Amino acid sequence: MRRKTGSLVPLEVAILDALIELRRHGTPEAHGFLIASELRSIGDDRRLTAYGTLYKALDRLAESGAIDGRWEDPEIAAAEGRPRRRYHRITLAGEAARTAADPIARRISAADRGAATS
Amino acid sequence: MNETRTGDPTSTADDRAVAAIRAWVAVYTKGLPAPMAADRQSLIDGDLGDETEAAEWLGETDGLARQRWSRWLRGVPADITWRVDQQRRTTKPRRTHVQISKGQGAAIAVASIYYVALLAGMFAQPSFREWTAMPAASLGMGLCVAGLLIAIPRPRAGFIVGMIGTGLAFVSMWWLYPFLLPLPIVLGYRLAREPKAAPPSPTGT
Repeated sequence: MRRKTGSLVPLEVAILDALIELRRHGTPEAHGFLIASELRSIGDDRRLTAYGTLYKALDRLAESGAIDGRWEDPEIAAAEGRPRRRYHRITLAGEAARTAADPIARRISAADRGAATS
Repeated sequence: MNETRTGDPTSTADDRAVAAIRAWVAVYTKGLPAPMAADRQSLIDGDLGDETEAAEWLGETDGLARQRWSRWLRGVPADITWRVDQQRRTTKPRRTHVQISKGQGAAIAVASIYYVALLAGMFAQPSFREWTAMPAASLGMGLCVAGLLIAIPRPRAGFIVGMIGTGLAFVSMWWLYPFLLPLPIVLGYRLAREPKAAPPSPTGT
């Protein structure tokens, strides 16, 4: 069955939550492994998200404009003697999509709008 | 990767896991555009490197190989669907519109039914079944039917397959030739009416 365009699956919602949480703690952008670690710490699963599942979800989020990605400068990675990373950050569209995906947040937002107009 | 842990007994198991994961990435990105495949390999390499670093920092290298196998295996279905998605985007759209007239379609349908009926009739006869040439003749007639069906979207390929089948059936049982005539006629008709490709523009645009 095909997904509805623009809808988020639970893992994508969790990734956006992880990126918001990391940003709140002073990390505005995060690489894949850091996101997987954050997902483990905020979720119920004690295992790290699978490579394929994580990067496919990140791909989908990037395509929908919910996150932005950039490759790390290869010189930095070389200087630290490790493979280069791809960093991801949540966009405004991602924050809006995250709010829209959460029924409670959506109700609060609608109530706020109602209060503002009355 | 893992240079810092050479000599560690856990590193061999981990090296195997890393090698398997990298090999798997090479497999499922094979045939994709080179930059796309390289990006995917870099993503996974980066993750593997960070995973090693974190395990070393936490002193949890013992379970690292097991963790990697688990992350790899659980992600295989997603890797495959990702590959299929990328393949669909990067390949040219398939020709979906089959140009075939009603007459050609009817001729191919009738010929197909005729060949299937002929083959079934031959198999129904015990004397035919005992012939040593029967398997080759059956294969030839099977190719005739396949050629007719292939000719619907691809007249040229269908003609070639059909003619190979006809040749095989003829060599196996030469006296079948009057029964084999419909195929060249039908597929020749189909091929002759194939729409010609547009000639290149004189300006080269």
